[in-house]
Amino acid sequence: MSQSNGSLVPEGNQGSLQEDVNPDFNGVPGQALDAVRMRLAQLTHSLRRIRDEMSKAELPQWYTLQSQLNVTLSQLVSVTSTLQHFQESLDSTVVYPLPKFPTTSHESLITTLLRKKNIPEVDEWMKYARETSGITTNLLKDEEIQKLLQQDKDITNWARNTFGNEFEKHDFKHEEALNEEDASLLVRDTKPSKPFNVDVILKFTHAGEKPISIDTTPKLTTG
Amino acid sequence: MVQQLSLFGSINDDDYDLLISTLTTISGNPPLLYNSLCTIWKPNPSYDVENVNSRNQLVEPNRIKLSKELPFAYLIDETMADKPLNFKILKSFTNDEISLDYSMTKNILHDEVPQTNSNNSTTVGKKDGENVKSDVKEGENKDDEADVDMDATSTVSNKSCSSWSLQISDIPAAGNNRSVSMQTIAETIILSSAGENSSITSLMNELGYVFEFQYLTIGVKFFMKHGLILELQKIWQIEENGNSQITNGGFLIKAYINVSRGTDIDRINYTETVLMSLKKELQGYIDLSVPDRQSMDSRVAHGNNVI
Amino acid sequence: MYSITFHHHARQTVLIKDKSAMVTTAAAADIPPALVFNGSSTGVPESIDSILSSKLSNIWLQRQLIKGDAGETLLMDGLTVRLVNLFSSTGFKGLLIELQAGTSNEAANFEAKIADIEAHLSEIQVKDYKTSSDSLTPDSDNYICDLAYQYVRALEF
Repeated sequence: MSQSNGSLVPEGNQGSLQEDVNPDFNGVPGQALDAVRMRLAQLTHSLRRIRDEMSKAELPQWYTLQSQLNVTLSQLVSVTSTLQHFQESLDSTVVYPLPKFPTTSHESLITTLLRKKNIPEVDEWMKYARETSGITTNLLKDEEIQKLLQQDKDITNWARNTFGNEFEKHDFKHEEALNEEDASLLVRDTKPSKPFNVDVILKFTHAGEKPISIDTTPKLTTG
Repeated sequence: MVQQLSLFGSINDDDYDLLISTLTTISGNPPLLYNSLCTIWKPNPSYDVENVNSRNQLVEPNRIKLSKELPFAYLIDETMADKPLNFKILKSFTNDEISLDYSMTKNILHDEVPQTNSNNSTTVGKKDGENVKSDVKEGENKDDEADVDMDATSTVSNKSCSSWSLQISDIPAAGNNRSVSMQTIAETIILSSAGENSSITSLMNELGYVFEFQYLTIGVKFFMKHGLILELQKIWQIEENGNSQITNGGFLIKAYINVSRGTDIDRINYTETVLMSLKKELQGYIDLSVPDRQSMDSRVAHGNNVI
Repeated sequence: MYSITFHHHARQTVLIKDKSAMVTTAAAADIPPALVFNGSSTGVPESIDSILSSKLSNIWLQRQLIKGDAGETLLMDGLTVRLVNLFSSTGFKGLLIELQAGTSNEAANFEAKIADIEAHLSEIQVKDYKTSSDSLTPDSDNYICDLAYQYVRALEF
């Protein structure tokens, strides 16, 4: 609580009139703001890191990038879920400057803090995102948007299932779940011995010369 | 004529599981079960054939290898029938026993191709085979790993002789310090036959060749990058007085790549590197090596006169 | 022994000796997939002719090569007619005509049409020809083997 107070109101410049006012900070949703701030800080940090990595002359390994992206995405999810969690209190909060705020000297700061419209840059991003999605949201009815979202979800589900299935097909280790008897064979670290001379076998397959050992010990088994 | 570049090795029955999982990891592909029946034919000894042709070129009498696939139903007995048809089935074959009957291969070679629904000369053994077959089908569906081209293997054609691959291989290239074995193979495909005596045996006899011996290979193979194929094989000689396993106690390991043109030196060199890097990767675990070229000599009068 | 390669039938080669025939192919696309999968085939076959003339040349010697170049295929009167001039190394060998009934309906009239053609030929005093409609295997039906056999019968002169 005190922290958010401090960050909003720079020290000093306190006029006599303003000193009389004793503001009540109980209405400030400190917990919500703090949670969002912390998560946003993490997210911006990760995004900045990815941006830096991508701008390097030599790209990092794909798996490094992928894990970073995964971290960033989970942080993004965390931000949105935090915002959603505190939606009610944040929506019903109205921000206003205290009388003792040095409006004249910090005009730009206060306009930034109180700004409700997106800055033009952000508007550009959003416009770009909308255009590239190929969907003109303002022309669509709610149901149609809902339908599009559903389609999107269906595709995502399909992709997830397909990927899952493909992955399973290549997950041989799991499929071949070894029984205990087999597993005991795997722990031996001795080098496999050679059961026969390869040349002898090839001599048979190419010229029909039968290995001698077969004739003498026809019932030899190793099982 | 194809150039086949290869390396060979061997491994104990006991080490099979570990090798399978190692190779699965290395290749990123599942082990695929396959079989092949190879029949070896030699020039009919009753003909006096010279070693030179009309242009006075030396042509040494060479064996011909005819090979094809068999339906797995012919190869497994009742005890294996309920098992899925995958690489594990090879562990059931550690001893000599293999249910392939000599009379069955005789049918393939002399008479009509055995029909799955025909119950001619052969007896109870064949009937069992049929039962097994339906079970195998079920197993295939259950198990994606074994779901390879098995369907194609079980199709039995109605023609007098079904398709065979006919190959004649040269003795591998000479040279002391070869890193891989390199063998030239000439091949053509026999699709079918017709006429009075149209069994594959009659046809081969007409060509001047007679049956010498045959063997059955059951194995698993891994398809790896760069056209590299790695096979673990068990080989049985199929004879009238019983079958005997040639690879007793273990598996023959064959790693090979086919290069379709022998003149493509770049490709051959590249292929050699691929094989060598596999050898390096497995070094200390499985020793892949170049076999004695004389052991891969399928000429008839070989022995003393190796060039 | 005769070896006939049909360029109009997927370049398959039929080997005929006495009354037995064997169909072979040098086309990679025509190899049964099972043979490639199990390693029986390298996937790069060559023609049986080239094997006979190289690896088996100590047993087999090519006596004569007859080639039909630049043939014509016509569709007329329910028949597929293939005409080609045959040449050997010594020169012109003759004109080969292959007649094939199209649909099964047309097959019924096939014999009659052949008789018609033969009647025409005798009308114009052409006697120096040979026909064959033989079949290698009366009971089963292997079109390409029968065709090869008919070629051989018609060309045996």
